[in-house]
Amino acid sequence: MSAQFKYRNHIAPRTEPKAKACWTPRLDRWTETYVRWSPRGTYLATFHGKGIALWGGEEFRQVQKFSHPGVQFIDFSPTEKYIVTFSPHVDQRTEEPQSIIIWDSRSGQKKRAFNAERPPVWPVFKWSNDDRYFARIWEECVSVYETPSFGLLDKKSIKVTGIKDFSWSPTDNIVAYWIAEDKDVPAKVSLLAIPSREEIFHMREEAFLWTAWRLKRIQAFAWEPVNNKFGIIAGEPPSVSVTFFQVNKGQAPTELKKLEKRPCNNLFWSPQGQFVVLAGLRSMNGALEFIDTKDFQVMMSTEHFMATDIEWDPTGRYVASCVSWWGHKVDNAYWLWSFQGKILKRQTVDKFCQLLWRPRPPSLLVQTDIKDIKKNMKKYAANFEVQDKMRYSKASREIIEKRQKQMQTFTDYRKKTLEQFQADKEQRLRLRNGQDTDTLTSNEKDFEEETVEFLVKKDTIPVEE
Amino acid sequence: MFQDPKYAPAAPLITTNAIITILTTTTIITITTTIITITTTIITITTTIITITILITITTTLPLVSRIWDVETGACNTTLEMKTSVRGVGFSYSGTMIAYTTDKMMGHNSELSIIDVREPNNVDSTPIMKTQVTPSNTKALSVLWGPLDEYVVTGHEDGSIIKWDMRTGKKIEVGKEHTKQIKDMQLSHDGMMLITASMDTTARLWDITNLEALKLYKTDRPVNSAAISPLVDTYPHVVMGGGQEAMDVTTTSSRIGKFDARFFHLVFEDEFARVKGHFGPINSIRFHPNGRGYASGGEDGYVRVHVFDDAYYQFKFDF
Repeated sequence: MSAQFKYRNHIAPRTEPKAKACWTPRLDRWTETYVRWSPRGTYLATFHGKGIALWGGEEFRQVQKFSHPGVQFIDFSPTEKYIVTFSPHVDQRTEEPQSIIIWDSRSGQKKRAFNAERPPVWPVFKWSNDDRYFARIWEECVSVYETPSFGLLDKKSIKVTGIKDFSWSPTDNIVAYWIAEDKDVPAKVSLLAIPSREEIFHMREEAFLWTAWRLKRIQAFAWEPVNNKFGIIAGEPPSVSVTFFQVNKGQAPTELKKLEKRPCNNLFWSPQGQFVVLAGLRSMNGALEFIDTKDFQVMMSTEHFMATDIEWDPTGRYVASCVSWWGHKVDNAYWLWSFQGKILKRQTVDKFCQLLWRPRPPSLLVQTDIKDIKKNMKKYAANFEVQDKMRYSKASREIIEKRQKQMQTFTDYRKKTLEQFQADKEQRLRLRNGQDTDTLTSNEKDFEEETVEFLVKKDTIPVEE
Repeated sequence: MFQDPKYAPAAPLITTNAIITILTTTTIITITTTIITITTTIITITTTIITITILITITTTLPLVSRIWDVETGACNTTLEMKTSVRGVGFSYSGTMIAYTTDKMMGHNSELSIIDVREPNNVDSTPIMKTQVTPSNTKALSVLWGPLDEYVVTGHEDGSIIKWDMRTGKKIEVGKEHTKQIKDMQLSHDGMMLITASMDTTARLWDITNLEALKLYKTDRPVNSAAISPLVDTYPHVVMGGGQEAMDVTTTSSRIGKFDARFFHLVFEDEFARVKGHFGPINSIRFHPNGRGYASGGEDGYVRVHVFDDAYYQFKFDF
């Protein structure tokens, strides 16, 4: 399987009509299954029988490889410092753990290996936002490990009886976990500071804000990535409805809008919020609706026949709809749309499998710079608009020039061949006993004209005197 | 268009240029006191003299024979016995010779043969030229004469096209651009350009004199037939037909099959129109000799005859 990708430098917020394309050389057997971007877009990981390769840098060369036979899943730490690989293949001859391996992405050094649970869960480790800690649930314990030593924090796990799940705070080294209800003990959510293990907060079930809706057959649910809306797709075709809710602090969620009878089974929020794409993927023929959840206006109702995947670009300006070979064997293609549903490009690729937008690194601009840009947007935008216009006119000019050239070449060619055709006339006449058949009318004088008259219709209409 | 029995029109076939003009003239108006009797309609039929004399058909059932028919009377003139099935057949420009290719089977090689048919009632089945196509090439599935009875072009299983000297049976040129089987070959109205349709989902335009590949028309389905507009110098268009092969269509949806007739600009290689209608692959497509319409024959058993509307003539590419 081969992979191709395009990328563009992230400079500043702007409206650019086309991504700057940078093609890597197409390499066959470049990846054997699929590819993954690292969370900041620094690396592209490819899968091979013997392990993982990381690609990156200006020219997208191979920068690192990790030998892990039979590797199936990988996970990057949030700052891309470490990479976790999982392989179900286990060599029986050794007793060392080998299912899960954590590596240093940069040096390629193996940091630590672990055994996997059965059945394995993925991702097995959850990382703190700064890569300082990673943790997993293991036999009713939260095992927190620290980097760079990769040892168990304080050499012992945190026992939490009845733990169901946990997650890290996106900003601080705090773990939140919850315990399910058990007989007389109500469910509980607790926050735990790491590494001190101090319980800083806990909340019992009575304090939760509960709201329940009765919906028939929920097909999809998705939170708006920013702000506080969510959407639910429910019902059986053809009466599938999409309902949007808003969550306000300390209040029950309110229904914002219900869209009835929609041909969709998935919804995809823009990474920047507000805009959402309703898609009827696979069995629903690829119907697409682009909706602005500010006023719930349907900006565009269209389709990409047999679409299997939808991918928003990280800036929320573009949407890719794909017909993947994994899901459908013909018409494999990716189409690019604006967030408003305007088609920008249709690209057919034989046996096309997967499209992944490259994640963007955190902006290098400080808050004041961003503020300044936003304030002076008009000034910057004007500049970019000029550039865009030039690029557009250059593109259409190039097409026109190309066509003019093609037409000129063809006209010259035809002139030459028609001269030859005329020169061969004698020979043609000889081959057909002097009958000129060069055009449909060239032997018109030989036509016999026959006039046949017959009555087609007879009408009798009384007319007043 | 017609799969079985296969047929090829005689070369000097000039389509019956029957122009039917319906004149609605009020020629007779009889006025009695209260009644007006109206209208006879005159139909004028202008008929061209048709020079077709013979037609050849091939039946693929045993015994393997080729038949030559008289078009005017419908009588079978000649029956030629064959060792293997005939896959391609064509009359020369003069109509005095037939070239045919045979399949590679039952230990026989694929062959290209030319016979003289000057005496339709007494055709000698001994070819005036015969050459082995296989094993040095893949089998020839279609055959077409060059414009002046000097050479023939064969279309092959591996996508190559080969030009043969009709006198010596030697290869003159090979055009190897297609990657899969050639399904159809047609000449431009002047015989100077050749268009090939291939299973590799493309059609190509060639110069007939040196088999130089001129243009490439890309689609996403096997192309079974392609034709060049007879009005090529005013409307440089090609029309192509094909679609997903019946056995590859997993659902019955004709949308997935893409059985549309597709129009491409001959020079710019861009598709500019599609005509829907068939619900099976198009097997054969031709322009009307006057370039003002086309006919397509499909696996669905229909022949669709289309006449272009004004929009067709008004459409122009920017350049």
